[in-house]
Amino acid sequence: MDYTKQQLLVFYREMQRIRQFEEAAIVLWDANMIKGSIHPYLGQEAIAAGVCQALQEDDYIVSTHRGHGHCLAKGAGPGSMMAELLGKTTGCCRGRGGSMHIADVGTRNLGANGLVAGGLGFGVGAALTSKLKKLGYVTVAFFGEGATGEGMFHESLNMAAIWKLPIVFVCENNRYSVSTDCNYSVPVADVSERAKAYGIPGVTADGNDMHAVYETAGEYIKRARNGEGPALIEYKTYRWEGHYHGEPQVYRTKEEVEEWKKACPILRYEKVLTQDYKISVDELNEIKQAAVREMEEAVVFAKDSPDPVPGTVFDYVYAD
Amino acid sequence: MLTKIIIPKIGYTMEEAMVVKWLKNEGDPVKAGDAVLEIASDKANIEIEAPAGGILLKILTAEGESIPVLQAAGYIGEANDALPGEDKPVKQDLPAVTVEKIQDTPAANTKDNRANRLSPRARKFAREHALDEKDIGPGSGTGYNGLIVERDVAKLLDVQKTGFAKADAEYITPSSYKQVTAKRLTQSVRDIPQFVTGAEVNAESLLRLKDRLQEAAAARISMTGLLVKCAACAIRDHMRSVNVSWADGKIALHPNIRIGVAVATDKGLVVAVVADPERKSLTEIALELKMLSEKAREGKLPAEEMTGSTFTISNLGMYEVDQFEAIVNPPESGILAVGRIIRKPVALKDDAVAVKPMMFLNLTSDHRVLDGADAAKFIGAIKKYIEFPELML
Amino acid sequence: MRTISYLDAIKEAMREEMERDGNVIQLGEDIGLHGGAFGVTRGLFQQFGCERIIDTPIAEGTIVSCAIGAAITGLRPVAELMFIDFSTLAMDQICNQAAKMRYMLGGQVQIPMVIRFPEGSGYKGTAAQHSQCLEAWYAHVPGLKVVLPSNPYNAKGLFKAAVRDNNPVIFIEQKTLYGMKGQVPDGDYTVSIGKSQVAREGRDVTVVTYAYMTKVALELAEKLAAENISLEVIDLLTVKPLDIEPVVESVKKTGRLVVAHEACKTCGVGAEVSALVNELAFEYLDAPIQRIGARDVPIPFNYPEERAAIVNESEIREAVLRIR
Repeated sequence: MDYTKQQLLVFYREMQRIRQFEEAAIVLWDANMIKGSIHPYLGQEAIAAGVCQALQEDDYIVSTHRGHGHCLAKGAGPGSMMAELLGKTTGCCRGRGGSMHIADVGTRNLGANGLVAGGLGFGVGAALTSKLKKLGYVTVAFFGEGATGEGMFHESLNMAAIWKLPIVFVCENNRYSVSTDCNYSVPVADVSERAKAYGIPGVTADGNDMHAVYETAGEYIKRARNGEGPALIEYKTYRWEGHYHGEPQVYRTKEEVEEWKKACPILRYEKVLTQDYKISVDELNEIKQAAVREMEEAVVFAKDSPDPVPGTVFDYVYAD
Repeated sequence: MLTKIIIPKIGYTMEEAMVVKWLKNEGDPVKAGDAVLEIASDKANIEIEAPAGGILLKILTAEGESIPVLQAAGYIGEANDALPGEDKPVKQDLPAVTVEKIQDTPAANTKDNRANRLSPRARKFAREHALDEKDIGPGSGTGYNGLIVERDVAKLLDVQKTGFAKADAEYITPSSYKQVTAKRLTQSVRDIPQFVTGAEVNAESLLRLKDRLQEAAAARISMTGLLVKCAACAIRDHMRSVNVSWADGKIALHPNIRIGVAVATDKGLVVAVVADPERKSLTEIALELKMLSEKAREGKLPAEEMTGSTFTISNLGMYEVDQFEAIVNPPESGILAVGRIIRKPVALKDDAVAVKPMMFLNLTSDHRVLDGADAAKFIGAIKKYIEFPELML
Repeated sequence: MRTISYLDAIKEAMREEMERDGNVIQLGEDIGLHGGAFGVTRGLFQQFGCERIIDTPIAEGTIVSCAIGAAITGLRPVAELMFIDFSTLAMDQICNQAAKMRYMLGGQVQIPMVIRFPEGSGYKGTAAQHSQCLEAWYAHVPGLKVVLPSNPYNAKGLFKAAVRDNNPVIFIEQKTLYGMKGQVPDGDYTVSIGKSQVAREGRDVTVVTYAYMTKVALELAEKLAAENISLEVIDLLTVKPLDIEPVVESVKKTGRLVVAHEACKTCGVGAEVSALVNELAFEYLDAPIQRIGARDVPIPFNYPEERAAIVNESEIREAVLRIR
């Protein structure tokens, strides 16, 4: 596929933004400024960046507990995201949701979810609205390979398939569900094989290959937009951090992690850009530094933002 | 073989169906499986098939009529089959079930003693009407498990406020004597079963004795003093039945006689006590009484001269009272109420009529310790000593 | 104004709301041609078609979840679950997602949806997994509203109010009341969510109730009136948010309270009412508050034991006489 230079740089930029955001968040967490847990997206950047680049502005996504990457890639401001992680009133959820429920409905991200597979059904619902009201938008539902064991996974794909809804199910197979290896918990070698049970197309691609991600996503999103119904895409990838940051990762070896870090999506793409597209290292570095600066500003904004006042604790329980 | 055409229960809410149309007539031959009638349930119209072959012998439910589920709408059989008697389909009522007392979740109706407790509402009512909770007697509750409830307190209030219009009266705080007396007498009437025995006595001899003593005495000899001695002697004769008190289910036998005399002071009624009067001379008693009365009126009566009486005499003879009945002073066994001396014609032994000074005595007794006979004997003894005072000396 | 059944009143409300607002859709099992397990939606499919009356596979979780997604993105869905007992399969979606999304997202979304299902036993031998009353579970979750109509009039009015509410409303119907007839006005009206109603005025004892027990309590009140005992019956209608004020005012008057519901007594809505009255009207109480609810047993299948497990009118009567 042909890409413009601008597009290539955007891909790179999006991945770097996610990388820098997560690194900055980890620093804050280590400094005890973030309550609860964070689930870093490190190592999976290509998927969020690639899929969201294949989406239009009015398309919806539903995300997972590992949702910072999706949120940024879909267009949320890092400042409001960082503020949300710090629980400030300027956070995108006014400090009510935190990392696990981070959402930016303005950019059509219906949010991270604390329940595995919890958001899949909303995705089906959003797609239903699109179809019934003929609004023409597509919904992408992100989930991990562990979610495919949940009843909601089956029910959602089943329903989307029978109604031929404009939704693409994107499985980020990062190998582990907390400590459980997918070779143990998933009875088929590729999650995409499960699509057959619903009569929808299923495809597996390399989740750390930027272009592969983008092109696969693009194909099935277009298909869904054309009314041809849902599809299941599985991206093979790997998470560098534990399930949550700070987890004692007794279930895998350091060597395994190091091996996969060599297959880092950003490193791989740098090679592609410099070798195949002759883009200078300096230009890439500039983009990286811009991302670093952007996230530093986000942190400053978040730190300076006010804490919520306890008196507002009853707000937003009900809508008027 | 007679076969019933049963209306099926389709769907668990269905209770009855309406017969829309019979597809066969009485007398028609039918094969098993033929559609014989159409019914309407709340959900849809359904065709009912013949359960067996034969002749449609009888239609029980006509078109347009309703029939409860699981009842027969008609019969199929052979021509010579006998039909059962008219059994009109009846709507099966749900069987009556005696719901036994189910042991409810714990502590549902614990029988803790609420009989002396006030409900929050009763307490509020008492507070608002300036009633002392202590005045609300135990056992007066008509609420749940004997709880004293608002209406019980209200009743108390009703009892208290008979008559006067609250707004017009002037309120003064009574003396402590009066308050104590009020409490005590109320308790007496509430708690003690009391009855009265009365006797009219001839005071002639006693009056003569009084006059003779007065000549010799320095102090004034009062009628009351003489009566104290009469009563004391009578009690002495009946120690075990009269000089007693009811004490929580037991009877206390007092070894000494102490007679209380009601003295009117401007602070209220005070009882002055004369100890062992049966051993004292009439003059001594008279002197003692005078001293006690003075002290009482000055409010200087010490405690031991106010308490511990086993019997009381109340004399209103100095007033225009012919007779009256007093209230027992707990824990005493009785109280003697003495009226004024009235000169009146009486019949003498030989039926002659003479004018004599007569006096009416009323003995109020605690029925827990004195029965009618005891009281009668006792008042008889008092009468004896009044009419024959030389027996006392 | 005419006399129609509770079921027909709900259907009428559904029809009128769907005519009024094209965004109102319904999802559920067998609600289309079949008309729903109890017939509540019967006839609507013919009028509104398969894009507004949508049959689903057996998938309670996704019925609710899909409705959530649709509600967020602009529709106003009504999700039917066949029995309240099956709502357990959708608990995550109802309690973790629908109830909490608006709050967790700091107000970025609203979820205007109705989740409806029937509850109760009706002494019909539907047994343990088809007879429960579980409103207390949902009342306990912040972010939900829970309503229980007790007659055809408020069934129609509350349903309309539920559809128009911008929050997830749990609309609990009573199997036993589907056939109940009552006066219902033609045309549009609503019954406010979150308002208790004095169903019958009285002087001697306050009876607080809702759903099927309202009917039972009103019948009992009529009988007791002939025995010179005057019951004041208060129908909660909404158990979340609970409108306790009329109850407090009533207890100030009568001093005596009986709370009765068909659901199990332990940790039922009656316990909440009881605690609130204790807090707000303690000094007005002339007797301990009495709670009547079903025994702590799964509902038995056979009729005599079912009767023994569930609340009977006689228990309410005894409670009234006990504290009078």
